[in-house]
Amino acid sequence: MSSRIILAGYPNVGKSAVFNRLTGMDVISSNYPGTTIDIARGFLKREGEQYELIDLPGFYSLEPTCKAEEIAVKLIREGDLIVQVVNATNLERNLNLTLQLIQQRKPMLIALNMFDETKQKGIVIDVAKLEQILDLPVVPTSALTGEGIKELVTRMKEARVSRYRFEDVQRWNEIGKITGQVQSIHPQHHSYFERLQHASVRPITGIPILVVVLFLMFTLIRVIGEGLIEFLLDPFFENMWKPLMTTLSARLSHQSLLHDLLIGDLIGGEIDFGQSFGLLTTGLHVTFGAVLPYVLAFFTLLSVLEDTGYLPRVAVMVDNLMHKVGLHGLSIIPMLLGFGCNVPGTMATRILETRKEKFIVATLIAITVPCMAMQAMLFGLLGTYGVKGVGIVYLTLFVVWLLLGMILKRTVRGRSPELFLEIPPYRRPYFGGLMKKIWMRVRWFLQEAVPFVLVGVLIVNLLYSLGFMQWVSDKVSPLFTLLFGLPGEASGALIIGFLRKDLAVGMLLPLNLTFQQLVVASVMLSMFFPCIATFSVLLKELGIKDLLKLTGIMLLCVVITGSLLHVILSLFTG
Amino acid sequence: MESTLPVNTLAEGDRGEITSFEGGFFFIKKLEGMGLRIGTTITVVARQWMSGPVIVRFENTEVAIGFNMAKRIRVKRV
Repeated sequence: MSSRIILAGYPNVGKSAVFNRLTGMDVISSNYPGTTIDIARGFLKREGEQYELIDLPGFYSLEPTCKAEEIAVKLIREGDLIVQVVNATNLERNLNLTLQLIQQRKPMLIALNMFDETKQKGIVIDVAKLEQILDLPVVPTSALTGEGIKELVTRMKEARVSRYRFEDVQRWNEIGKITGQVQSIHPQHHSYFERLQHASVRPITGIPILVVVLFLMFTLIRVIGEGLIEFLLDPFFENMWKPLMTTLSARLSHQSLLHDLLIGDLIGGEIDFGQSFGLLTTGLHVTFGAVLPYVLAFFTLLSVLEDTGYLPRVAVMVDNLMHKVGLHGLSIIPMLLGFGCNVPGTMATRILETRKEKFIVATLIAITVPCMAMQAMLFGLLGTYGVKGVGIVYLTLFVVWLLLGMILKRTVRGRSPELFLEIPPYRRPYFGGLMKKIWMRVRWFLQEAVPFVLVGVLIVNLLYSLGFMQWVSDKVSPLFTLLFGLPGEASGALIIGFLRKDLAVGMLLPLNLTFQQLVVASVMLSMFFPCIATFSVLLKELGIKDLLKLTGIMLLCVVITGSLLHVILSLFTG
Repeated sequence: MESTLPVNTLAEGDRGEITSFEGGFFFIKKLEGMGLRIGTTITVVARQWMSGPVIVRFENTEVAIGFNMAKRIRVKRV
């Protein structure tokens, strides 16, 4: 059995960055507390021997106050060697955990991380003296740049059970004594970053900054996404892929099953990437030609925001709004992630403490937060009508978000804790790390999306050829027309939306809906079942009982919102 | 006896030394884990409008504290 090395430390001290450096693996690190929601395991080779390395989610104390901390403490007890990752710019507070870890009587060493930042902050640490007092190896590191990581590995063999002893009630006094001996701080002028830091959390400047940042973010997503499509992907699909597929289509007999599956229907004698519905035509085009550019743009911008440390400030600014729906500011992070893809958004609900918060956030994401695939399709469907169409959809979703949240706040049992969040300093994103993170997320999207789109296309074809779609559409037609003013055929899109939202649009296009019908269908499609990938994550995170509750709430919301919107829009358009 | 006041009543830029916590074991542990303990001197960096969170700075750390939590931390002005 290989030895187990545990990476322990406070939240946001860079454990994951150290883990990535040590194992050469990729786990996501960002500049906000609680990025690591899972325990990551990797392997580290040292002098021919293999060690198992465990990256724990950050915790503040060895006296566990929540479930995540309990697990952390248990793993520490089972570990063979502890590497405490310490934030060097915050030595005093981090030593509190060091002393608690020392009492575990395990071989241990310390990575004095973010050591490069101490200089800018006017902090001088006498590392040799700290080693001597703690009776443990202390290695200055900077995980972002990789400095000191090699030394950390070589010195692991010096890890030992510290002989440092103290009375636990005197812990803070001890810490004060240690820092007094090893650290001196020369106050610096407020740096530009620090002034910006304060401006972005003071409401009078912070709210305008937040509005500008969000506006810029969503504008840039559209500009980058549309740019990629117009100048790169459309030319590729139209000028290179289409001729290739047309040749293939001619080779296959037009009525054959294979032609139906791979190429799909010819619209006006030609391949139409939106409506043909073949694996190689619509299937590939939806993923790569329509959704991927937006996903790439979204995760690039979100990753920049994450690494600079802006997100915790967003959490502070929106705390008040979140209280209206029974949450606190931190829950904005899963929701923002959900705009990229509901799957990571739902998984990020783990950073929240109570079951009530998790249920509310997961429900609100599933019903009212359209993922990038859905949004790309929204613009595809309604873009021609300008801001009006898309605007009504977003506004409706926001109103549902607020009303549903207010109801859930009052009806879901449990506690809604207060915001209590460390606000990290702004950091300049490190280019290499940023690229790696974006690539990981895009790769992950492709792994998730491609199989589902292809299976989705396959199932659509099968359901059509079996006559199932026609049957459902006939059955629900009167209901759909009465409640939502939609033709029965639109039900097919809702069914397929369960597999992949982005496919559903291709099924709405041929129906030639009016503006009003398109808006109602888009809202319903956004709110109706999240895709199957999200659904399986919801099952894992919430359990079957809460998932059924969520599904019931969702169906109710879709029907109510769809019919109300139909009535309201009818009033306005006559 | 010196008069103390809750953190949520401090204005931006005010400094105070923590004198007591009004809460149970877990409440105190949570604060202590973050580095907020009796005797810590904090500076209010920002306050949000309408009973929003208060952001305090101590040593090299900034922490956002929900309004109702801030109410339960008492300080004396320094």
